[in-house]
Amino acid sequence: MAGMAREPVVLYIISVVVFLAVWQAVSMSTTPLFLPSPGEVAAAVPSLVGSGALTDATLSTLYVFLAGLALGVAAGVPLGIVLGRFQVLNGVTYIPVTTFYSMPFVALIPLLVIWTGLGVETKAIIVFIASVFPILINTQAGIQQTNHRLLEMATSFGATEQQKLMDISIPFSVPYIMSGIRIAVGRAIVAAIVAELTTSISGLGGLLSYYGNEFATAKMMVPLVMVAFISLALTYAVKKMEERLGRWRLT
Amino acid sequence: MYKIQVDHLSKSFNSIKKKGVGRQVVSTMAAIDDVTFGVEATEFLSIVGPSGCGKTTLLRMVAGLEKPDRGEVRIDGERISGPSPKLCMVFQDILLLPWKTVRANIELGLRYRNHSNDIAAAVDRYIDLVGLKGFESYYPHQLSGGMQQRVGLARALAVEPEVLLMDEPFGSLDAQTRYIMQRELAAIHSKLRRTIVFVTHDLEEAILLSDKILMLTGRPSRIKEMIQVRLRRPRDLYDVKSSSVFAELRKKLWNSLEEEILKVKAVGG
Repeated sequence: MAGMAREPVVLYIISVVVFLAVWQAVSMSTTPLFLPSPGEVAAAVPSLVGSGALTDATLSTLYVFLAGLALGVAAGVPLGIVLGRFQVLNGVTYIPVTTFYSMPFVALIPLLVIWTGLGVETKAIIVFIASVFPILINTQAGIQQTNHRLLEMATSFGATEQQKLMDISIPFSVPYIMSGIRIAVGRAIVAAIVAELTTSISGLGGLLSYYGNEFATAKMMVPLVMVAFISLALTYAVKKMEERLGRWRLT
Repeated sequence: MYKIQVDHLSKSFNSIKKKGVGRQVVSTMAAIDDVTFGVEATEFLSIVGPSGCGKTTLLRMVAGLEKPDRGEVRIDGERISGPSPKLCMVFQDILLLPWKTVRANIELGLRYRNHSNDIAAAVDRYIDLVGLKGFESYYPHQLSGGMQQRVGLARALAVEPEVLLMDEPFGSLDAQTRYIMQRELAAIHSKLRRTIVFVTHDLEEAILLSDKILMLTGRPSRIKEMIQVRLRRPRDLYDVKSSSVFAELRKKLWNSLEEEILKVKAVGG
């Protein structure tokens, strides 16, 4: 079998270098308060690492993110399978699911704060709401779009409905589920930071807000870069997982 | 008693045509009209007819995948009302599970049919028979069309059905692969002595493989004629092609088919 396309690592490195060079150039034409140079941001790293603030904030954000996303997967996949399998439920749930998916989850935050307070749970719930619907909708689509000829083949061999679901519909849906998770990861990281900015101040969002209010722009950029790294790493991880699980599609 | 008895089978489909926004016209189209025939045990029967006639529909009703409007199909005298464990189907689009290996694909049918005997041994036997040895752990997309259809054939044979139903199984293969597969199917048929019902649009293929050929008319399909293929078995497919019996049969079948094709054209179908 032909291997996966090799990553163009050299191009990646060049793009990062160019980005840093542009950043450096722009920062030299303005003040460090407005845009500190990459060097000044790097210089701010030791103080944040030394105090443990960066590590604590990162772990706190990751915890909220992972807890919410895990709940989203744990609820979204089974619900999507059930909704995909039973046409009637599909009709009943279409409007609420579509509404929740398309409305900005940020609008729900004040209500959630009233219901569940300002703690970590609230933040995880916000991430959950942001991530569950794309997973649910994609899983449902995968189950519904399962090649009906494959199902008929199984029928001709006398497969039960349960066997058809387990052997055909669910494996067929895996690439759909993975695209749902990819979308959910993007939404979840946004939700985690927004939750930290709008409920009780904590995590990387909290650091951003704190240093922003202090006008310590260089220090503020450190959690920002961290968020960028986390997003990049997660996107890469999901992409790799998608390629692995959906390998049979690459024909 | 026939192994398979098809009795006054009729089937029509509703076709929905959209006419503008929200308006649709439902028309009924007859696919199969009052078809009756029998297939003896171990016999190889081919069904041919003009393109778009109800060959596949007829086979699907025998397979229990489609309910007839009227009439019935009996296997060993028993009426079919759904997929029967005595039958197995080989599809033109093969329908392998792309995420499973060759071995797992062949095992699938055995698992669904609840075969209590050793599944692994049965799979090995049929992998051998269809010439897939060494390819057990390949995935379908790593195989050529011909190899994929071998998997489809092994999957069906492994459940040891008494009747094998084949819906244009070699229709999408190139000429060379097709010839090889025809030869192997002929060999498998003479070795395993299963009853085979084979749908094809290729008249030569039908002659080479069959004992009897059922010619259907254009839609709605009725039986035009049932033709005996008087060629000795085992047949050397290559030699058979140059025999005078083959040439005569091909001419006869083609004339019969052409008549139907021209009729369809005249109606404007």
